[in-house]
Amino acid sequence: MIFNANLRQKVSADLLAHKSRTLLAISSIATGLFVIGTLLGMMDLQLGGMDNAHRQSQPSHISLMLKQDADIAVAETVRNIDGVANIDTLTQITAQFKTPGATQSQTGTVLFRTDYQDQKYDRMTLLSGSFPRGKSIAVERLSARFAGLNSGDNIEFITANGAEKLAINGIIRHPFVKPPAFGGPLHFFIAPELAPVFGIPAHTFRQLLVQIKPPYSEEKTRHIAGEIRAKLAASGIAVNATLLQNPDRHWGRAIFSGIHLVLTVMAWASLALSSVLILNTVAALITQQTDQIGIMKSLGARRRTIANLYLSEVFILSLIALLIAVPLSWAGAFYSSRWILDVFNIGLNGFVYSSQALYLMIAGGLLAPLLAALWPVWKGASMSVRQAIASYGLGADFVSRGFDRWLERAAAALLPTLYAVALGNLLRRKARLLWTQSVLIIAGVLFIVIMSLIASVNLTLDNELARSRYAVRVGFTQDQPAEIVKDIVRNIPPTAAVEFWNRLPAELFLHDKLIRQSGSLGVQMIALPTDTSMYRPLIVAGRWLDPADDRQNRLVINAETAELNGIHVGDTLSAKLMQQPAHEWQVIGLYRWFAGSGYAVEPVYAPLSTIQPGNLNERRHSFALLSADIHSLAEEKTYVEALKTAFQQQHIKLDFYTTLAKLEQRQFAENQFRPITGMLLGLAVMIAVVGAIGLSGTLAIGVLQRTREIGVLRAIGASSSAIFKLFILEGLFHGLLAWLISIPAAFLVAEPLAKKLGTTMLGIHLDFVFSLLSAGSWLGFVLMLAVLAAYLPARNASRIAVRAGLSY
Amino acid sequence: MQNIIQLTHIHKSYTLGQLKQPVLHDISLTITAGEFVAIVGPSGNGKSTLLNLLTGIDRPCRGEVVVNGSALHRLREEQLSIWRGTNVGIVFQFFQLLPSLNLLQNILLPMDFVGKLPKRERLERARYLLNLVGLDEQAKQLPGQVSGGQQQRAAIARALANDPALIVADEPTGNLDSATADSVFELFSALQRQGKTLVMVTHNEDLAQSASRRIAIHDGRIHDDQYLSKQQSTA
Repeated sequence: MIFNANLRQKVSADLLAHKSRTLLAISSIATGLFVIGTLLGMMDLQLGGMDNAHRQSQPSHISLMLKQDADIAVAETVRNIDGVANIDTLTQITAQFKTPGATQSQTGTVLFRTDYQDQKYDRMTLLSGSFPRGKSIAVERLSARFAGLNSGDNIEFITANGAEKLAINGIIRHPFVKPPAFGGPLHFFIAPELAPVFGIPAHTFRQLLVQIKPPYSEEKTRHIAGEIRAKLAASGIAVNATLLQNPDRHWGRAIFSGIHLVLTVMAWASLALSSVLILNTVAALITQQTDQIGIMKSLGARRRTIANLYLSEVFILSLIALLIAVPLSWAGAFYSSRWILDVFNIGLNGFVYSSQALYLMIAGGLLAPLLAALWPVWKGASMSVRQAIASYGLGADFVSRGFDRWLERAAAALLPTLYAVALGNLLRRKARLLWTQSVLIIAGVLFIVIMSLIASVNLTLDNELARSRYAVRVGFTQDQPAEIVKDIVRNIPPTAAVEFWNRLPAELFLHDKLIRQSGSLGVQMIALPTDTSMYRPLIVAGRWLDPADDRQNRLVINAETAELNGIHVGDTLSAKLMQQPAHEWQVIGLYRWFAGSGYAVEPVYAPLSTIQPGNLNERRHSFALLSADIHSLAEEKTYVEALKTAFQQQHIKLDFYTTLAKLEQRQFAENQFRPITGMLLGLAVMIAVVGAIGLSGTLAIGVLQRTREIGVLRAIGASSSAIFKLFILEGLFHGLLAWLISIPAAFLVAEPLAKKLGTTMLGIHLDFVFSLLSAGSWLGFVLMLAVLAAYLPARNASRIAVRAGLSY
Repeated sequence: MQNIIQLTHIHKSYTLGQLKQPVLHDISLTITAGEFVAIVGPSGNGKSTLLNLLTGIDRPCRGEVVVNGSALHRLREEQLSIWRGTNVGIVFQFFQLLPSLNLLQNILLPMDFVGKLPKRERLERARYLLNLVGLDEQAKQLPGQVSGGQQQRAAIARALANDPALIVADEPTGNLDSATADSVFELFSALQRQGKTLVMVTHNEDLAQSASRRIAIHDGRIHDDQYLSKQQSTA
């Protein structure tokens, strides 16, 4: 591409003569490449890191959480089921503990494996110290960090032997823990020697981990899981939840799908934007050098030579930008991925970079600017000598038509002249306007969609709370007699009423085929009074239970599961409850579950009166639902503590996972969603900042291209402040236009997009509400960005002296 | 009559690389209010530089420039912008109208910058000036939609927007055909009759001869200075 020494000299002279323009072009390309490299690198490193960590943990394909302790001999029977490759077992229990210096005890999870050196599935990795031995325990990595625990610290547990202090001697990574920051309990690991102290019977387990024989398929896994549950039920062992896992895909991938969608939009928007800036820079260069082009042509230069000359300049700019952007994007992708993966308890060891992102950067970084520059370069190179040498003053060829003309007439009639100039300048370069606007509009739409998503999450939680009229749901590790529970809670203020529910593991069949559930942890039957005053789900078809359903085999099932299996209201299902024979049940209603298809056990509602006569645990219940006049989290906490203490005194164990306080639950849900919505919001803001950088670049190029015009304005009496105001106004018009377009666009896409993000990332079905507040706040934000983006170009423009402007 | 322009011992040079290039040598010049002065001379001999000094676009290296009572050599860039808006109207060779504004808006713009007239009177005056230069029917046209002569007349109307005492024109007819150039010159003559002072750089010797005073610049010095209407030479 580079020719003789003289032309090489011209290329370097052009690049060095206008350093600010050269720096602007390099920084424009480098910014675009940096954003692309960082985002694509992040996606690659994150998904790769997650899947690697997942594979390294040897994930179980089926994980069954049992309702009670099971003898290890039962596990051996599961191993013999056809299709099962091997099994592993562990036990998780809840325990009360105090951290060093704490005055109040809290509930945590204690995990026990018989041999930590021989973990088959869901392997826990030792990060420091040693696996639990004798009376020393280990703590989970996220728990240690959250609670500030270190090796050597003593944790005081309430055990069967009373308070017992146990020293931490190791930090372990558990592949499937809910971060304590999102409401998850602290996790501790104990050795076999301590199992009796925590009431874990010898040779028992609570969680069964299974891998099936290859090849893996979801359908086969689901089928074998059903067989295992049936086998366990035959032995009188109930399964509370069943988790199915793809061995090659990390469970957190779904959460990232929405984030990656936003990242991808952002990456390509940045590339498009930097290409526009290149187009503008080259167009400015050609405009400034038209006379030189004329002279070169008059001296015999061909169109191709001229085009090569300017494309070489673009190539050099791109190469420099690439050299700057690559190391920065490597660092950006690595450090941001490390931070995000850490939330998922995954460590990135040693510096890694995405070669895929590098190749894309090289290809995009060198090709996109050249393609962007092709049109203005070719147009410039195709100019006749007469055209090139003549100069016709300020944009003499500028003619507006159609909508522009109408807008300009309206502006002329309604706005002061300076505003009309700013508006006219905005419309002068359509391609530049379009691309700059597109990024700001995308940012605006995303911002409003995400804010609507947050508003919808809150509305959904409010609606769900309104459907739940209990203050606290107490879950028991073993079903409890109603009378005893009533006696306990009656004396604890402000209890107003109590209602009892039961839960039973169930297998549902349609035409003798096990149905697929939308919930990923399996299904359980919730038996409740038909005149329940504590809960009423959102019924989307059929009806809710009523007293006429007493002692009838009637079910209300999840609408999504019904759709998945082609079940309609009025259909009959076969349900197998524990060791009982299968019975026919009629579906009378479908409910919509706000928890969607996330990690939850899906309830199927049935009348309590139907379950109890044939249930061995008659008048014993899994849950007590308490209504109470509670208005704040503090009141609720006091109430829950009083309940816990009272049950503890009666030696009744509460189940950490099914005991829920309504307000606290809402707060946990918010905490759980906040990092994801926060991350999305952060990305929308980043797109807006990229848009602002683009806008700043566009205005800066505008200053270069209109230097002579600024000189003329100066010559006819424009003060520095008038020039400054002109460019600030142009920036503000950009922001205002982007806002005006983004509102209807966001209105159109917000509901489907927010609902999609809700199900894929948050795992909930949203009750949608459009956030009008966000539309207003976006206006303020985009105008602020526009002013910030316009500030430097406006300041530079206001500093152009009249003579310098006129001689440009 | 009162002096509107007073140049005293003006020296101006430009530095090109390491070379100092003198452009004007010890120019002293007085122009009285109401004169129509044509500055002529070969290219690169300092005509435009002299004009730039009169309008405050450029500054002398030495000497004093007093125009309409203001010592321009002492004013800062910002003060000069404000001064220009009120005291001088500039007409460029290539018209330099703002392409995104129609002719009416181009004329309104300097009035908006200066803010001398109340807002409601600005539109009235802009229409009056368009009528004066014969462009009232093209008021809503963009510069790109009218001819070169019409653009130049609009540029003259713009120069008159704030009713300055001095109109300065750099090759105002250099880009126009002879008939259009004549009409522009007529316009300048009419302005002179209304009491405006006009200083015009031109290569067109016929037009220069029609002015009231002809100043020839050669090698950065005043080579000839003639009061044409009085047929009197002072050089």
